[in-house]
Amino acid sequence: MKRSLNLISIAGFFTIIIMLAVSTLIFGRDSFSEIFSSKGDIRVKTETFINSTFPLDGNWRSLHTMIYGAVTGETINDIFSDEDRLIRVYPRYDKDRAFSNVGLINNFARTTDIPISLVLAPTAAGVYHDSLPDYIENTDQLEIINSLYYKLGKGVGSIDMFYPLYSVKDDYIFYRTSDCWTSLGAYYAYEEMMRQLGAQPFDLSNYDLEYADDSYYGELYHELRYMSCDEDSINLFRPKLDSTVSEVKLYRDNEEIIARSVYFKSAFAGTNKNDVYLHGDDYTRAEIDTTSESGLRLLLIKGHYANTLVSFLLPHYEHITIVDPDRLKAEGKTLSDVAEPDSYNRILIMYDCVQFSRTDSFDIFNDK
Amino acid sequence: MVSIGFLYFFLPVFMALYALAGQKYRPVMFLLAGVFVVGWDSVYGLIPIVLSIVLGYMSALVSEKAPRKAAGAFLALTVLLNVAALVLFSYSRYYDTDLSGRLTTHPLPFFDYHFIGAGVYTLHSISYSADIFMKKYEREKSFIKTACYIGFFPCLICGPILRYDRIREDLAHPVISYDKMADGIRSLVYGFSQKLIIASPLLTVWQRLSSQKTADLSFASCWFAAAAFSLAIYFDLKAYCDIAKGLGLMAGFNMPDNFSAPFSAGGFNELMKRFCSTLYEWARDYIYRPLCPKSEKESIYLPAMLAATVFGIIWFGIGGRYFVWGLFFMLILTFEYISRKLLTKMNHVLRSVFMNILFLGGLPLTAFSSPADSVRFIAKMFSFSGLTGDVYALYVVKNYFFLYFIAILFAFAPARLVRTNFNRLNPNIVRIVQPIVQTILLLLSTAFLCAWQPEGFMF
Repeated sequence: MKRSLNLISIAGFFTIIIMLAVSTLIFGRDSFSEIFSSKGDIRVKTETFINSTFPLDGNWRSLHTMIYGAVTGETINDIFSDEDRLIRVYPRYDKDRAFSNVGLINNFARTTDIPISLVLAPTAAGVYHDSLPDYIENTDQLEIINSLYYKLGKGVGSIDMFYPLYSVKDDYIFYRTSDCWTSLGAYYAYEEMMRQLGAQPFDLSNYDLEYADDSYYGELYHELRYMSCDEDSINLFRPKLDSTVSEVKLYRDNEEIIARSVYFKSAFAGTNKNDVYLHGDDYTRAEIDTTSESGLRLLLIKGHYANTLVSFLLPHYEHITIVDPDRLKAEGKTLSDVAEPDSYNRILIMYDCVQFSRTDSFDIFNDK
Repeated sequence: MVSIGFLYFFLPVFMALYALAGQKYRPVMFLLAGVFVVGWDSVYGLIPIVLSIVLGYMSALVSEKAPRKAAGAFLALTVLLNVAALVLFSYSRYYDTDLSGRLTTHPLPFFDYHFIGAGVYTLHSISYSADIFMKKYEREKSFIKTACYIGFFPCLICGPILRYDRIREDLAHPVISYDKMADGIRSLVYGFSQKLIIASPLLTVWQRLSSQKTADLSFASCWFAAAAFSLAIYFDLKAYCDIAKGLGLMAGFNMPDNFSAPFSAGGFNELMKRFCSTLYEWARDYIYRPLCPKSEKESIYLPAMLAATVFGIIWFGIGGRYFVWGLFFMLILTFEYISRKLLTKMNHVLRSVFMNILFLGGLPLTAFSSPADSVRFIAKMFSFSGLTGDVYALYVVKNYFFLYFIAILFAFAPARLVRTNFNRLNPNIVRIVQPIVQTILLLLSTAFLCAWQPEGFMF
C-alpha cells in the first residue's frame, strides 16, 4: 500500500507540474521566441515570459486573495479589499518630487500672465481613508495636498477637491475595482472647480446619463481577482441639447485622429474600458473645438484623472488644448513646441495627488 | 529557488535529464544543474564556487601525495581562501550584512552581484580538506564528484551543511527510488508552503509593526512583532532546508535534518544544537574541537565554545548587528555554563520558557540596522507599558491569530508529537492523507507564487 500511495504522490505531483509547464509553452509560444530574438537580459526576459503566460493566472491570484487577503485582512500589492470595493493605498509618497514639481509650476507661472490653477484630486485611498483599518499604512492625502498648495507661488491658484469629494463619498464617485473616479465623481469635481474659478457650473439636470457599460472590471480587480467585488458601470454624461463638440483632434508622435466626440466607445472592446474618455492616456495632445461662443480658450495640462472631467468643461470654452506631460516628454518635446501658453485665457494643471508625486515631466515647461 | 520558473520548469527538466542519464552520468548532470542554478543568478557567482571546489580537490590531493608539512601549508591556504570567500561573498548585495557593504558606502561593482551559496560551499570545501588531511576517510578521486559535493546546489541557499563521508555512497551510486522520490516531493512541497504561506506573511507582520515608531507600540505589540520575526526567520530557513532535502532525496541523496523543534530547547546551548544543527556540528567539529581537545576541556571549554558560537552567528551576516547578537549569545552561554548545575535542576518547560523570553528579547538586536532602535524596541518589550495592547496588537490578534497558531504549533514540539503518535496508531491513514495534503499545498503555493511579493522574502 505504501508503494502504491507513493506512486500516486509522484504521479500527481509531476502531472500537475508538467501540465502547467506545457500549457505555458503552448499558450505562450508566440512570445517564447522573443526571449531569444529580442535584446536584453535573457534571465529577466525568461522570468517575464513565464510569469506573464503561466496558465490560470487570474485563478491563482483569486485563490491567493481569497486565502491570504480575506483571512488576514491585509493589503495585497498595496490594495486593500474593503467589503465591496478595492482601494489602492499609498504607504510611501515621494514628497521631494511633488515639491519639485510645484517649484517647476511656480517657475512657469513667472513666465506668463495667464492665470494658472493647480487641481490636485485625492484618490479613493484619500477619500475613504476612514474606512481603512488603522494598521494599514497610508499617506495622509489631505495633509499632502494642503502642504503642496501652501508652496504655490504668486500667479498659481489652488482648487480644493478633497472636501467636495469627501462630502459626497457615499455616492458612486469612485469605481469599486479601479483607482479612478467615476464620471459622477468627475462631475462633482467639475462643479466645485467651476465655482472656485468664479464660473457657473451646469447642473446635472442638463445631462442625460448613458449607461454605456455595466461590466467594467478595473486594474485593481485584475491584479487581485477579488471575487467579492461587484463589477463597475461606466456612465457617460451627455448634454440634453446638441453636442458641444465640433471637432476633436488627437495627436501622438506623427499620428493624428479626428473625431466628433470626446468619448471613444471602441475602448469597450479593449483591455481598459475606462479609456472611453479621450482614449485614456494614449495620446500626447488633444485639440478640441466646441460650439461654445464664450471666446475662452483653455490649456489643460493633465494627469490621468482629468480625462473623465474634460467632457464637463466643453460648454465653457471655445477651444481646449489638452497636453499629457509624460507623453510629451517621451517624444522629446516641450510645451512651447505644441502650445503657446499666452494664447489661452486660463491654464489648468490637473492631477491626482499620487500621480503628481510620480511624474518627472514638468520640465516640459522649460524651453529647450 | 522559490519561483514558478524553478518549480515548474527547472525541476521537471532537471529530473527528466537526471533520470535518463543513468547512475554513471548522474553526478555530471547534478554538477551541470548546479552550474546552471548559480550561473543563472549571476555568472560571476561561478568564480568563487569554482575556486572553492578546486581548492578542496587540490588540498585533498596534496594531503594524499605531498609530505605532511606541505599538505598542512596547503590546507591552511585552502582554509584561508575559503574563509575569505565566505566573508566577502556571503550575503553580498545586502549592504549591512556583507563585508564589502560594510567597508564601502556602496559595494564595489564586482560585489554588487549575487554570489549564491558562499556560506555553504566554503564550509564544504574546508571540512572536506580538513577531513582528508586528518585522514578521516579516503579522498574522492573523481573531480566531478568532489565538485558535486562541495557545490551541492540544493543546499546553496541556506544549507544544510553536508559532510562528504555521509553522502559518499549516494554520490557513487545515486539511485532514484519511489520511496525517496515521494519523500523528496513531500519535503519540497512542505518547504515551498512554509516559505510562502507561513514565513512570508509573518515577515509582513514584522515589517508592519517594526516600521511604526516604537513609542506608538505597546508592550504586547512589541512581543507579537518579535515573535513574528523569530518565526519568520525559522520558517524561512527551514523552508529552504526542506526544499534542499526534497531535491536531494528526489535525486537519490539522503539528507540530514537541519532543525529539530529548536524553540522547545531548554537553553541556548541546546537551541544552537537544534537550530541549523548541521551548522552547529560543523562549528563544533572544525572550530570547537580543534581548540578544545578533551584533555584541556575545563580550562578552554568556554572560550572554544564562544568562538564556535561567534562563527555560527557571523555565518548569518557580517554586519554590526550580528556582532552585537553574537555578544548577547556569548553572555547567555557564559551564564548558562557558570550556572549549569543549578539550571539542570530546573524543570525543562520552565527553562524553555525562559530561553524563549530571552531569545525573543534579544532578537531585535539583529532586526534593526541602528543599535539605538534595537535598544528602544527591547526596552519597550520589557517596559510592561500598555499591557492592554493597542491597535497593532489588536491587528495581530484579529488578522493573524490563525497563522500564529499554526506557526507555533509547527515550530514547537506538539505538532511533531501528534504526528508521530498518530502515525503509530494508523500509518495507512497518514499515507492516504499525505498525497491529498501535498496536492493542496502545491496548489496553494502556486497561488502564492503567482501573487509573489518580493519584499515579503527574507533570503
